[in-house]
Amino acid sequence: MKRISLACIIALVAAGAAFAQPTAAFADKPALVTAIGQSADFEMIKVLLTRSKIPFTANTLVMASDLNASSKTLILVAGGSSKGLGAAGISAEVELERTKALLKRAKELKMKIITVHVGGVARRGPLSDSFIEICMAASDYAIIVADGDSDGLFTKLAGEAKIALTKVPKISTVGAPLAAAFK
Amino acid sequence: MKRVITFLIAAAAFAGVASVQPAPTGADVHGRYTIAHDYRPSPSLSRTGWLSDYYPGLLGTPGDSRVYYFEGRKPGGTLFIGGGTHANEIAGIMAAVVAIENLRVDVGRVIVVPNLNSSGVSHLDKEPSQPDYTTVGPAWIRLKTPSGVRFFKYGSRCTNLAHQGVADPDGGYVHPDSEEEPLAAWEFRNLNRAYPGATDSGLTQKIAYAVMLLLRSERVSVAFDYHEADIGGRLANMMVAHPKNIDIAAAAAMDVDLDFGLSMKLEPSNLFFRGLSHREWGSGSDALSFLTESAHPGMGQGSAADTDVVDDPRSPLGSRVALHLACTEAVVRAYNQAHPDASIVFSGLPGYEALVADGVGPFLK
Repeated sequence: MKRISLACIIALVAAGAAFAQPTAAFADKPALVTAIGQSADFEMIKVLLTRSKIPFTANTLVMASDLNASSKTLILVAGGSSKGLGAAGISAEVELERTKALLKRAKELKMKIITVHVGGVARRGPLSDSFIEICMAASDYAIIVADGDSDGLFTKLAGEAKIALTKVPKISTVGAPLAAAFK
Repeated sequence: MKRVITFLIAAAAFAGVASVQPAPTGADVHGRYTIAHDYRPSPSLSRTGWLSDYYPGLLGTPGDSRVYYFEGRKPGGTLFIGGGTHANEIAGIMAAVVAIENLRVDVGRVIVVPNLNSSGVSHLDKEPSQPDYTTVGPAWIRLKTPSGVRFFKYGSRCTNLAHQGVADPDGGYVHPDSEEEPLAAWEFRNLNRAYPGATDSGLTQKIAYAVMLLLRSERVSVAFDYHEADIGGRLANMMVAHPKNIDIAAAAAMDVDLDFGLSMKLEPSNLFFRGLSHREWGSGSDALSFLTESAHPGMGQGSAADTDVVDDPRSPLGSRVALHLACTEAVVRAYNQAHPDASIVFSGLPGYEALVADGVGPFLK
């Protein structure tokens, strides 16, 4: 019984850390937002950033070679869309390679990286998960719509990456923690 | 065929009783082979016309359809609302009817075609090769309204085989501009695979051609095509937008989430998949084009043939109509912000919460 209680306490502490928002704004402006997986959720994040008055540029297909010191924070809108990939004329494999190179370059430039997943459970599955995993592993912070974590994937990945994870109930409530992350 | 004729006679008899709109007389063949629906426009109606006014090849055919024009006192942009592309997706038709019966336009114009495919409401055929979402529904739905019970026609996904005039293609349907694999042959009679249409093909293609002419000649600014999808499926609760206006769709989707807790998925048109309204309207006219999908309880694998398509608690008609109208109003607001010189201002539509709470009937005449 004592062991179970201790395990519960440890789990609660760990969960608290995983779900907590960053204690202080950590991200510098301006931001660069890109779609990892080419979903239209990218457009929703642009709306939220505009309404939060966070200065940003947006490029669905930004390449590592495009990154420079003019953007301080990279926002990754994670989620795969076969339609979006098709419309962009790229395969999932090409998108993964773009993402890996982009994240490597962002780290070199010491950019802060925020993963945002707003599509909920509908934006999960093998295609999306491949992008989610690579984004979460490289991020400093993640914000998600809660039902996208019904199987605990984001909680697990945030724990492995040792980053804060904020879960919100719906897409329109993503804006507040996203804005709060910026200095 | 006998079923179709019997049905049309019954429908015409019923319409004769119920319709408050003038029936064609004498040499006027407008609407001669279409159902005279019992739609009762608001006092703000400016005039009515026909799809055949744009493409006379539809005149006197089962593909003609009535067009309702609402004009504001001040000039502005033009909103187009289309329902009934698929006549079994009844919330699309009823959202357009609710608009017709309640609209007041102050600035700009609103043009409504509640039955884009008139032939689709003339039958209930479900062919063996068609998937579950084609459904077999009731012939009519009945709604309690302030003036008593009223009936609205429920139909089929496709143009009536007897009306198409050209056989479904052997080997499947390929859109003339498509490089994709052939679709099922019956998709030849799917209006939402037919745009921008043609004059030398089947009736479905002629309807599509007329709609494109309407959008262009009326210089439509914002165009909506109301649809329904299988409940719980990928398309349900989705807004599809042409890439040129995906930003406006995103702003609208955010607003309906904020205002009503209505979560809409968002998807851009696939420019390689030809024939769909949002894709072809957006590329072939100046209109910003949108398609909304509500969740139809009678569509989808395993749905019972006797599913209540009006009051099923999983997705009642009021909620589905509310979705279409709320998205339309949100898109128009976002459009107006970006186009203050060509804005569209209207009122009178029932609110989202009211439609969800009370259903459609109280908001019809």
